[in-house]
Amino acid sequence: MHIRPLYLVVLVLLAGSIFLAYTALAPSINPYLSVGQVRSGSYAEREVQVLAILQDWSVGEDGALVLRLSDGNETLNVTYRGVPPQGLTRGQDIVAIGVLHPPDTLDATRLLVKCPSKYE
Amino acid sequence: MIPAPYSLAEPFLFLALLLLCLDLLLLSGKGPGTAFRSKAASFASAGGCLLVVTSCLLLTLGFVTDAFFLREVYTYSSSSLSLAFKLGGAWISGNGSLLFIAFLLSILYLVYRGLGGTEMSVHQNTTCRVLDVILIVFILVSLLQSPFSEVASDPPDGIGMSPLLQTFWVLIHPPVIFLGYVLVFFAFALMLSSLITGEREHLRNRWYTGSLLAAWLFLAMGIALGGYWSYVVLGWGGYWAWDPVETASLLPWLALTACFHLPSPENGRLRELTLMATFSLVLYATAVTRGGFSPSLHSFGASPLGYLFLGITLAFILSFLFLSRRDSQHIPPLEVDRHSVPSLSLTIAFASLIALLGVCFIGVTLPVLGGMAGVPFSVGGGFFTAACFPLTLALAAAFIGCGTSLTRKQFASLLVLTLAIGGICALLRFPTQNSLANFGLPLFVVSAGIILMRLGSLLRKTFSPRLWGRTLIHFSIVLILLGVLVSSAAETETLSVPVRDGSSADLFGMSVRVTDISVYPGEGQVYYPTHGFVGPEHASLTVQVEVEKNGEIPVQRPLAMSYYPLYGMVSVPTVISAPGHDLYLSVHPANTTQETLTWALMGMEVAPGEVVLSAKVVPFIALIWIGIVLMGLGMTMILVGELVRRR
Repeated sequence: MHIRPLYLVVLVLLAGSIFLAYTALAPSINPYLSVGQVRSGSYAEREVQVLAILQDWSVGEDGALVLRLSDGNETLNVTYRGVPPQGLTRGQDIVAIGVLHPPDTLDATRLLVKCPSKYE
Repeated sequence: MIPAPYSLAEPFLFLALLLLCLDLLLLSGKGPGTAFRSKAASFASAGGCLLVVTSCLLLTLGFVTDAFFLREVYTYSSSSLSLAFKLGGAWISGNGSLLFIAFLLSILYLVYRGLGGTEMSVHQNTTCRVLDVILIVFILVSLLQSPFSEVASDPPDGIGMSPLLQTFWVLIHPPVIFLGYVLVFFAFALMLSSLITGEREHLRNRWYTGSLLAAWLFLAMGIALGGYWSYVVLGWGGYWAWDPVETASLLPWLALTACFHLPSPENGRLRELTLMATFSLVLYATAVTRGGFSPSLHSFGASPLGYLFLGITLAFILSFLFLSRRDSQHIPPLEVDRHSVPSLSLTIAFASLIALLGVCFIGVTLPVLGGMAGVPFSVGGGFFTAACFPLTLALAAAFIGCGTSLTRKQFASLLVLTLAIGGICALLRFPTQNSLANFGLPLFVVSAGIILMRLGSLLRKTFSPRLWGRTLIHFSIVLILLGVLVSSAAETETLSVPVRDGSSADLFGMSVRVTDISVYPGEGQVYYPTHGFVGPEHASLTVQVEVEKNGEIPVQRPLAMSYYPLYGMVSVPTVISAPGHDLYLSVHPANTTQETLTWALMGMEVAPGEVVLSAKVVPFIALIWIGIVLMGLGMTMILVGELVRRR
């Protein structure tokens, strides 16, 4: 068989995939923001991803985790109701992903801490 | 000053480097004295490999004998660490893991060289030279990482291994995936040698086929073991989080899988290209894992090693392109029989795999580029899900067509019908709330059903490991995709409730009663560098729970939580599996728990107080684990079958 029909199949698949990937890519790109950027920027009621230092944490009456994140200057309060990540330690780097409620509260849907494999 | 025998480890590595360079020179030499050169080269390579093996064993010895003056041992071990983790110290520790890869490659190289004898063919000679270069690169990088560097002071103990690493899975996941990498290196060396010498008949031999299939098996099982570890250890986003490091490890496997699905199996150049891609992607995955270009679950720190590995990857790609150009072989047109559904299906499978590879590569590379440019960002799971979903549908359709006797018209009608049912399910939001999952479910179910029928028909034929293996792998992939679709679409929210000894809670229609909470005093022994003393490693708390559903016999399970002053609070979850779902239970600290466990660590008797109980239901997750087991079985069948056939 000549190559053209095969190219057609591949092209249709690739084009469809590229289209879907392109439309999904823009909303999926999440910059790592600092606490200062989140608090000073226009991120109200938007999903943000904050990379900060865990200053303190406690457990609320409803069992939710309440964290205070800091970038050294400003702080952000984070509420999280999922399974808490392992080894939460004050002073460690943490990533909180969730919706920002102004002025300083983040309703997190995910909390990420580093895997201990230390492959850096 | 490091005492003997550990002081010999780094000189051994230097010597191994020199011996392998000498081997490379001797193997490249021409003219008189060939027999002598060949013998000398064999001694040089054997010596080099044995020195690498000895260095790695010395690092392991350092862990076993508590040589805390070695930084790796000090950072990753302690006197109370169990022997199993000390024996695995070489691959668990960050700097030792590259030496461990060199160790595995040295053993494989020794076996290949030993079986080849001193009278090597031109192809074997060239393969050994390529392996020399790869091994030299890994020894050089290991030396740069200095796994035998010394701690400034002589500490009385180590700071201990992270509690999250102290699991059975750390003993098998890294070695399995590293072995997969090493087998890819080996197959690549054989392929490059064929390209250089023009002797392509060697690409059908036992070594080449065996190493490729074994690499495929080990890479798949390595990824699967990592996923299972991530599932049973809390907080890493379940079994898969589309983290750059995780996704990077998927890239070589996808490339290798595409290599096994070439529409024209006899197309040597296309096979070479996909294998080159697999090799480069292993190096690229290493660069992403160790470079810390962008924040990830696995690493936050930046390291020049990432750039070094990117440079090495580029160097190998350029060398390959140069050799391919010199070889002047063109990519011949693909052989596809458009009237044959199996032939078309193979093409669809190949194209889907290449497209999946492209999507994952883009998703991994964009954050790497952002990190390099100083604009860190992540690509969320939404991108991967949206872009990969249609490709997995195409793959499921290809499985239906593989080995079928359907005509093109029947095949197309079946696809249209299942997709139409999927569309109706998506509109009705049935059986899950996720429309995308509902749309794909009928196609996956039909695909699984047809493959099962094919397995049934194989029972009536003469046993063929290749056919059985292939059909099992196809079935397992559909099963895994079904498990992923249903479990992610129907997973419940996590419920967290504060509980005390004797209290109970209703979670997802189940009654969970706390029957006992006990606190245990400090255990283990580690060095606390900031305070300069040796003390207990952790104190623990166990929570006995009794889970009862609809008057059935209650299930009793223990949940544990420990406080490690150096690593924070760590929970050990429990998974109660029932037909159709997993109940995932874990216990977490309340506001007073850390204080309670700190007192316990110091030997005080304290009342346990309140803790937080978390629960979620993950439906049909067992499909993924069953699929993985079947996939391993299928791959093993093909590997063993091929090795026996080509004996």
